[in-house]
Amino acid sequence: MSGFEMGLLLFVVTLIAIMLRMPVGLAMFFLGAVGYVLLVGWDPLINTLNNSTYSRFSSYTLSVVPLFLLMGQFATKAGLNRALFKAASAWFGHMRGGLAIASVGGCAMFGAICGSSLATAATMSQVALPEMRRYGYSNSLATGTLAAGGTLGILIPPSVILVIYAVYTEQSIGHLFLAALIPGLIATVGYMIVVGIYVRIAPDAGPAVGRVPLREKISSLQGIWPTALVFVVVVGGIYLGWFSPTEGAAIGAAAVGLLAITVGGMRWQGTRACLVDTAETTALIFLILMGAEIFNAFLALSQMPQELGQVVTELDAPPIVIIIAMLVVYILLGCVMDALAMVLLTMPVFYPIVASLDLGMTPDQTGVWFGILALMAVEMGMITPPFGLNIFVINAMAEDVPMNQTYKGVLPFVLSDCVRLAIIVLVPATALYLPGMM
Amino acid sequence: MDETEAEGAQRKRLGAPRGDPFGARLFALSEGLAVFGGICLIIVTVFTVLSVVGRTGLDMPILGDQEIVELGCSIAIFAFMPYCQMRSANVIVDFFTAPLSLAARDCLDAVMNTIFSACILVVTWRLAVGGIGTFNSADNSMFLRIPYWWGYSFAFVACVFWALACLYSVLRSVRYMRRAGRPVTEGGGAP
Repeated sequence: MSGFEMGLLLFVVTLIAIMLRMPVGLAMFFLGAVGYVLLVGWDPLINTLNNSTYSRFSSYTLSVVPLFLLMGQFATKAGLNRALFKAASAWFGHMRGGLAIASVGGCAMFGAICGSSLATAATMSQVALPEMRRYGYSNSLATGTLAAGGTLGILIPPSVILVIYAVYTEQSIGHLFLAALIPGLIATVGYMIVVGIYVRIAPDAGPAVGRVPLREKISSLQGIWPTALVFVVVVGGIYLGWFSPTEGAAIGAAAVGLLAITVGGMRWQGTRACLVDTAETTALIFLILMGAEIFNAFLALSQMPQELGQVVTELDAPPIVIIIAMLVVYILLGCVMDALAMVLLTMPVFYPIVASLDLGMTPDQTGVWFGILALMAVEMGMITPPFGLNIFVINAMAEDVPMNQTYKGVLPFVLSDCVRLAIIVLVPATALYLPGMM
Repeated sequence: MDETEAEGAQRKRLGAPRGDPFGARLFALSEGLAVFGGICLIIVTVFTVLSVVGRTGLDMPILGDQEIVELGCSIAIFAFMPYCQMRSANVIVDFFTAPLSLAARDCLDAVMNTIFSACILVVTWRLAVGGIGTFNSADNSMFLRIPYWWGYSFAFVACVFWALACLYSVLRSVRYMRRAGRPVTEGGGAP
């Protein structure tokens, strides 16, 4: 069997193992190791393992991941979710569907200090869901908005998936963060428009709330500035090279942690809760990273990605068609699979192909643009049935809402995701303008 | 039933097992280890902030600050692994197996957890070999001369717990399988 065939075969076997409840990171580790042994033997594998695990877990660039996760945990304890939603609902609440629009806005702002989609969905739901239900919002609209809004947590920088994409494709984290900004804003506006159309069609779904006096509106903005400040310092500082992404994340975590202690009244119990939650999420991410390390090493040995790339170039299809085909794969996989796992599983195969395509951009631009596209496509998986983690999280918080109502509620948002993806495919400048400006 | 439901999400995360002294102790230990790792992470955070302030504000850069971050974060991450395992929080896809019976799913989990244990045992073993290698060659970090075997030693200890947690999760799935009647949330669980 040639290396190419072996690579392809084990890739398929890995997918099957994942379907049979093998943890994704383990499947990549185990079958990557099996392939490694078949190609070069047992001794090289165990010699690689002497140092690969430790060096992966002690990587300076990847240490940004637990630090950003910690920052997101502290943000909830600092009560920032409450302040952000309060400000947004003061400005939008009087409109029809206003509280849903405010939820989208709150999620977007919370996303500026939180790099995870689940955490954003769960945290904003804590404050927004009870309010929406109190004012008689329909179940579908309320849960759908929050599930979709949660994805803004990862579209708007900082973003854990972008960090890992950057590390694996050797792109600049600062560039990717900046590139995600305009697409993230387009997403926010897109979701708000969806809510607007939704309540126009079903006016009872989102009744307006009484108008708030201007003075109160302005004073509500005070709740926003800590978030804005942390966002500007962390993302701006990383981009301008004042500090490394790891240092930026540490500064953010320290600042938000201080807020949690002073404003939020966080004490030992709260800190402990933050720590164990960070532990759990960090560990599940690093298991996948550990698997990806061995899996990538095997794929590189098999030369399957390069040969597949050649096959794809020989197809002579327009590059844009190939990009769209990859995004479709992501969207389909996303229906059943976790976003980060998907990125790590496919990147060693997809990225060399993308890099070989002639899209009329510099290699760095292609890398950044594709990173944003892939991020958006995999994030759609968070809200597409049947396996959409955001949907499950929201549904668990609104226990009396039947699952199919939540499914129904997110569909219009999925539609808006598709439109946005098309915009960014057709107009790469939406992603590339900001990083290219400076 | 001997498990407490932690969250209602698709991925069923387990709390401390009841009526099982060994499991309960292992869970408490791994939780303690996770908190310890978290404290390391906080120390890294504070240290990094001081280092940035020192470098930009006081013109006093800390040489080799990266090495401290790497050591601290590796301790934290290794310390997190057993806890995640005990909570069954790893990412699995349970969409395709949802139509199967509970016993069949538990049986699959038992198989997967057995493979998991074997893999982590190998990882632990090689970590020890790698650590001894760095000890013998007296490899140090570049600026601070921190011996690499320090990091390896902690990683090894944490991995032993991780392997124990994996073995325990095999036991847990087998136990479920034989009873075939555990509490499940929508869409099945993931022990």
